[in-house]
Amino acid sequence: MADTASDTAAGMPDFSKLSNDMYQQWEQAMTAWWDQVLDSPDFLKATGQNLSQVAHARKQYEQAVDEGLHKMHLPTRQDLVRVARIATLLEERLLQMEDRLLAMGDQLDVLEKETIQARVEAAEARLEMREKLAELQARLDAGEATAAPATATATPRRRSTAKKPARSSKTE
Amino acid sequence: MKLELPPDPLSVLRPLVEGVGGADQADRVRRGMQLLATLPRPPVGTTPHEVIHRQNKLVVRYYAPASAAVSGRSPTPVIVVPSMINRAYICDLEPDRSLVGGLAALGHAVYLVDWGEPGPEDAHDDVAKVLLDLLHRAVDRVRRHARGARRGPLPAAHLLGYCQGGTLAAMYTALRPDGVAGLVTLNAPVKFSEGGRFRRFVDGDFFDVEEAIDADGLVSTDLMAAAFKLLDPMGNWTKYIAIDAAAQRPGLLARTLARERWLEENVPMAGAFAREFIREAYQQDALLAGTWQVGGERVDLSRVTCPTMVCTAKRDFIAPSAACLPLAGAVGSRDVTLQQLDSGHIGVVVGSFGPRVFYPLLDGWFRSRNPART
Repeated sequence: MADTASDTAAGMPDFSKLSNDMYQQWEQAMTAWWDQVLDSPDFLKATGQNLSQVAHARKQYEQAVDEGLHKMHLPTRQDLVRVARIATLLEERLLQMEDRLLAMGDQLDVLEKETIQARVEAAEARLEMREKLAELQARLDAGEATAAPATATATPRRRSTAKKPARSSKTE
Repeated sequence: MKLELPPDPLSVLRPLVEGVGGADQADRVRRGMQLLATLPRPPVGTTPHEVIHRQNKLVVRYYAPASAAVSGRSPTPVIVVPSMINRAYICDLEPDRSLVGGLAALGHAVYLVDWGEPGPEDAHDDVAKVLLDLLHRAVDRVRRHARGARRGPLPAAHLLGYCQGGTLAAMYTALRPDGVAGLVTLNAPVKFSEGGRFRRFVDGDFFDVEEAIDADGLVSTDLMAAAFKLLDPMGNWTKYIAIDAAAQRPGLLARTLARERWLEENVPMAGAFAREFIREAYQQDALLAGTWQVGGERVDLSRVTCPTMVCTAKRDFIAPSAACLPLAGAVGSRDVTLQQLDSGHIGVVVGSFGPRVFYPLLDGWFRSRNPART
């Protein structure tokens, strides 16, 4: 590595700095040159043509290799690719089945949730019904208790009015 | 007049002896080449993870959120979608420069879509296969994994697409918006007429994509590597100087070699995908025009209605900002954030900029766009 300016004598050119500057200028010039080349339509066109030629040569070579292997009764690369493709397709089928199973699992979860919800609601309704019945029973018992000391003539009338709606609902 | 001689009269000759300017740089390049040719490459993709899904060559890697994250665990999974033409480990290059590791450390459940390397048997895979089958199933499996043993609807996920992966993530969100909670694109071109030098390389007047597809039905790595080298021709020279300069610092040398490893290990492109992507995107600019039909469905970016963040790097010559920013105006979302980052194409992910600026930026954005909170 070049030394610093302190090592050079007064009045003497700093070769190190000079050459580093030259290098920096070279690098900048090269960058500018590359930019010019890479953005040039001529270069891009030539690259495209070169790519075509290489691709053509490569395809011919691959074809020759495949023909050689075929004549030797050996599997070609295309044969191996076909086998690999089948394995990929099989995996895909399995994944599709997994997708369906997962989707069914999700649906079952929803159904289970809905079923549980329905059961809970039914149980709640039953409980409510029981509570109402118990309340009615309690009121009935209370009514009977208050009615017990009453006169015997009034009691059948009350009973007949109470039973009438029940009979009519059964016939309906 | 008395001539003043320097203390060491031969010092003026020293640069000539030790090498001056260009000669010295040439020597550095030679040493850099030697180092690059002989030194083993460091391991990559070392952040602990679990593979949760495989399909053909595609693998989905899960990086569990750190339990000790300062802001706690984020409830929405983050799916990182890298480019298909490079190795996915760019998102996990080194332990302290890992996008997936960094986000996991900040409390996010991170899933990396590793596309793998297509073989000749995948030559017929087109964009529809990639988006509507491979990526769609990967997103579904991630959402199921994130839901865990709990029952109920699948949680939506944030998509973070990098480079071409960002373009694919935006297209996927337009086609299947339901499972996407938020979309972040990083250096992802959508206006391909502004695609810089690569756009000129594949100009329809000079380049016939059919010629680039080999007998295996793939665009070979040789061709891809040559194209990448031509994007920055002088970079192929100066990188050796950088390697030589790093030779005395093992940490820096390992970092440089890890990047070189990624640059060296190109991935071929499935012929059908390359044919469609280059024609529709680069040659016809069909994505922004809304004329690209994928599997019979029109890709309409205005269908992207989830919160969206468009990130570009100011010093990116692979995916220039002018090609990436138009996504912000094309999506139908009312919550769009633009971020122009002071970094380069890969520096934003694997440079010091990543852990210092970019990962925390993502963390904040993801957390403020969690569907559970909004």
